[in-house]
Amino acid sequence: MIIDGRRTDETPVPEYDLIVVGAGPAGITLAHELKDTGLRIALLESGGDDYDDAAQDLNDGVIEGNDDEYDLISSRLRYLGGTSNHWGGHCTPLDAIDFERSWSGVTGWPFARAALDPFYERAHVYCDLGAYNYDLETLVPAEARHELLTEHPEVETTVLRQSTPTLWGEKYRETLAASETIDLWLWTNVVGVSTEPGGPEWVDTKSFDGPDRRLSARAVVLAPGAIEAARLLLWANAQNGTGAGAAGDYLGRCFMDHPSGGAAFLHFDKPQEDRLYWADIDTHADQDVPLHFYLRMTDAALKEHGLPNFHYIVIPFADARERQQAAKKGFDSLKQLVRWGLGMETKYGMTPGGEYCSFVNHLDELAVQTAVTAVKGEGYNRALLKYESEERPDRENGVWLAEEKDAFGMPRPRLRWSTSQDDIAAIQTTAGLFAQYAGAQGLGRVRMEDHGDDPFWGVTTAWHQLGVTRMADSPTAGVVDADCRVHGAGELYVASGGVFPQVGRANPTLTIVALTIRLADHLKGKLAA
Amino acid sequence: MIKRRTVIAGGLGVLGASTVGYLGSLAACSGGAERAAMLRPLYLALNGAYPWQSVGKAWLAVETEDQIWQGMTRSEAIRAPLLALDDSDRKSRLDAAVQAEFGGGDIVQVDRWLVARSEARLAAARVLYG
Repeated sequence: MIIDGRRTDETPVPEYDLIVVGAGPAGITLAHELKDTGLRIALLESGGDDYDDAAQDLNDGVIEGNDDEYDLISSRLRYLGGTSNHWGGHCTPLDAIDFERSWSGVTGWPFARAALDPFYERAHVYCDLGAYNYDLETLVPAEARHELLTEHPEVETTVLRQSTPTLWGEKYRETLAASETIDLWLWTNVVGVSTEPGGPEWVDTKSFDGPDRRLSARAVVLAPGAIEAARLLLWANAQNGTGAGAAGDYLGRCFMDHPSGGAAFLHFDKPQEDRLYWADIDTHADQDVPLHFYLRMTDAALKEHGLPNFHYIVIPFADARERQQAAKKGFDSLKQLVRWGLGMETKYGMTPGGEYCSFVNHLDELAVQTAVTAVKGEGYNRALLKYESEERPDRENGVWLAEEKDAFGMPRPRLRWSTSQDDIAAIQTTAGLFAQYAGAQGLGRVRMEDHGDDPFWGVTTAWHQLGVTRMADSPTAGVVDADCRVHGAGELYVASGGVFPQVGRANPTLTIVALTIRLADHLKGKLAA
Repeated sequence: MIKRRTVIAGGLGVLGASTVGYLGSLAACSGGAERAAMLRPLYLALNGAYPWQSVGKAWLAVETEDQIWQGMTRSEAIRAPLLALDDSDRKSRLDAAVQAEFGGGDIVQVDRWLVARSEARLAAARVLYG
């Protein structure tokens, strides 16, 4: 059932088994996993069915550090489906190495990658990713597997699968509306949460032009995104005089993103054609799910060099690519005109005038491309190595409560994100290693990108907000335990990328959904008892 | 009758011209010409993937001419291709030598290019000696 939180009637609010705060990928997945258990669930969404300026303004906050690159308002979305309404859909699981090591001063994941594999497989259904298969050899036939740097054992080609991308709100709205056990509360903002151990669980809510409410349940899951989960917990502790999840002073700390940007250009000795990395999105697919291919260093090599995890997206130089595409259009038009002139079959919808104009408009690119091809051969002569890198945990990056309040009187978040010089140096080291690999193989030479005097070397955010409610077995090393339950609180849980103690290089949505399914299994046992 | 003054002036002129000629030849032969002749076959190693002119100029700010020369003459990997039978053989040997330098991590960053140390030195030598 769907309920508008702004309604003012006196309909009694039921006692719930579970309250889920936030109806994005995590919240909706959790509710959906539990929909057939008979548990009464309240799924609370801050916004409505569509984008709304007033709801979106609740995201605003204060930025410190690399502030040119962050935008708290538009990086997250407050309406049904949450931030899935504008995600890119690139999915891959975390690598085994991400679970096997921890960085200086902080703990890592409290379990191995194998513990998540069954949940990754189930998460694939939610993310519309087809089979749980990232094995290059079975996904791409040997004759089409045109890889780069095949001769160096430290390099491998890694696979990403492309979600449609799934819009959780659109995909699951009808199911949620039809459910007799799930109440989807729209326009319902949580402004208070119970954080005392042993007591009843509750949340306080406010709505624009609607009544304030207190909803109660046997358990509460915070699934509003990492920054919002940390803000809610910080504010709840301040209001309730508690220290839930804060015994080790990690609540709100160790914010992580995936620093990304152009590291270098790889200039090929000879033009390169048909490489996996720049294939069109529909060139390689598995069960109709498009595949992407990036370069990375193997887990063993990362350990050997002490480097954070990363991958390189290999993008053929844009000018050449545009010219090639324009030249191809011009050539195709010329072929159509010739066929038309000879009375042969032409493509559907072809008009001689249109093809003639297309040919004329692309004639200069066709001429240049023909000349370049004649001299240098087919293919691209350089490619950008665009990195997406693991950010190592840093206690100085995080979320705190700002002085300024939002429309409901709750302190806005103050985010500090500043990529460390060590992480930037690590990225530069990887470019040097790829220069070494390329030179040793006779593939080409690497030129580092020029980012001028930018102290952050052109680093941009991937808008992957992670790590501020980090997972650790010990209450003094993290905020939630291995079951995502907040240390020192009652039945209060977090389902978001905030629980990542380390972020690897993988786009996080698939892992967030997998962790949420794992939490759902835990809650099934717990709440059924 | 030839005056003594003329004889002395003529003698000094011949001596001066000889001295200038000798010193000029010395300067030319101890400078670029000999080295240029020796290095020219090695320029085959300069890869078209990067602009050797700007790399060479930039490397001259890192090493002196003598350091560059000594670095190259001490390098077996660079000396060996000089014995090649023809350009094709020499090019193969040079490519193998440069690839081996990359494999061994002996690379330098010059003008943001990451090249083998010998490539940087050869590029600088070509800038110096033509």
